[in-house]
Amino acid sequence: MTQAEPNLATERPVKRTESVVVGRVEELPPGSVTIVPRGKFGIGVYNVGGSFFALTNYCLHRGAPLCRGQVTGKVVAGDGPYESKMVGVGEFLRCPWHGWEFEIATGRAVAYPEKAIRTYPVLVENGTVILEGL
Amino acid sequence: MGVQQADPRTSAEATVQVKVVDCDVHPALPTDLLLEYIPEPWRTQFYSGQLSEIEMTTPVYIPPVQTLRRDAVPPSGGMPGSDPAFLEKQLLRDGGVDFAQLIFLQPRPKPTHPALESAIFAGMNSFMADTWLGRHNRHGRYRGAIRVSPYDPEGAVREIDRWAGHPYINGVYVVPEASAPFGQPQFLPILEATARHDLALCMHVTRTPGMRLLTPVGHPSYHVEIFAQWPLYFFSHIASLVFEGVFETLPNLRIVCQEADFAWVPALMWRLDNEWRQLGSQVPHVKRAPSEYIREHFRFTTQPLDEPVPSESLLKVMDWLEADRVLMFASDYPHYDYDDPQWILPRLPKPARDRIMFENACDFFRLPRTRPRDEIDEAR
Repeated sequence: MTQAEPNLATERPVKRTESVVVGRVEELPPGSVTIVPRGKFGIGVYNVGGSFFALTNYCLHRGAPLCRGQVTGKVVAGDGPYESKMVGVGEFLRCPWHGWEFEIATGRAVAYPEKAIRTYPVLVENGTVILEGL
Repeated sequence: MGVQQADPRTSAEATVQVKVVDCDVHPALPTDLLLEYIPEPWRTQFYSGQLSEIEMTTPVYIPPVQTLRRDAVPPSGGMPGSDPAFLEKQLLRDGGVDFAQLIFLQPRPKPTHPALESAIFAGMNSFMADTWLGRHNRHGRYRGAIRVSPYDPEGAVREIDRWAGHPYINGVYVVPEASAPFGQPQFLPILEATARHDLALCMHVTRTPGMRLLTPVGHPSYHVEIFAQWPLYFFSHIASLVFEGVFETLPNLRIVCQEADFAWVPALMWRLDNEWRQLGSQVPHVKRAPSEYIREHFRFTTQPLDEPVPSESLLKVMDWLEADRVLMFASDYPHYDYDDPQWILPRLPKPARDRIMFENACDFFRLPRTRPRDEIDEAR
């Protein structure tokens, strides 16, 4: 508890967002996910190749704990018939239930580009990772 | 802790109204736990000396994502569905399931060798009775179907007779990837024993390896193809059971089609009814329209729930089907295509909700409408 409580009453109705410190950059290496217990479902903070992204831990399809899913790539058609290849390994997230895939950076569903998981901004300041927009 | 606290079993709220029956739940059966239940010579001949897990290495179509829910891995490790405490927590407590109908998918079928298959399934049944229907079932919320080999009718009948009367066994599970349609005479003893003991015949696709994975045009390349074709097995068995006149011979026979979805059922009923009106002289022993037999003798489980666009189309299908009569909820826990009961419930048409979530299953599986309050209720 802080000593001086901010006077929230005077600050409304200005829309403000809160932020929370997730950890130090070195504690959140590339490929890691940290589920921050904020909101009803928690928020997954991902380090994708040194860039940080955050998604609600709730699948828009059936409500699964999305961020418990596997970080993976995307299978796309190859150059010729009957060919396929894997691209963007580490940039996609697969839901632990029905396997829906989402791009971590945008929250967009691979199979349904018009659908997306809610994302949050993540800042890195002096080596500290901060989840914003709460 | 009050010493005055009433014993929950004798208090006014000692019983709980059943609201959710889950008709398709799969505990895991690791082979090392099964082995002691397999009689010799099969145990040594079939299982010993293998370098790899024989039950898991059978060639089957595998989904590209995962077959099991990643978040259903128990905290202690091990396979999803292997830890009774964790299954209780995820399915009974968080999912709000009152009764769970257990179907063991391991061991995999051994249809090439009926005697071996019978012996292994008998071992599986004993394991189930000792564990999930025994020491893991202190709350009495689990019911199970014993597995029998359709290719060893004599052994199957012996096995059904052996378990009949067990308080928690209410079904006989046969794998629908069969070598002949189940209405044919060689299967009648199994159907007769099932009906005689007031059990339900359960059919659940089990990805039997080999030729029985065939579609009518051979082996497709992908799991995504064959998954959508699994209802074809049920088409064949339903048409056979109806047109062989089985339900005239066995008016009490009840059959559950599990994990076969249901959107195809109205179309099948329309077609069979039409054919019967036009060509029924071929089957004079069939006295009623096929759809009447189907609605009376078959139940279909909800999972995997179809998701048409627009989603309201599913309500039309449910209407054609008379879903309030023939559908029963199933989650398929702990598989990746799990349907959460709390997600499904509000999406069902209101007048059919109770029928689908528990009433049809209570009737078909002979379940009570209330159960004793237990510590899982206290933990909710």
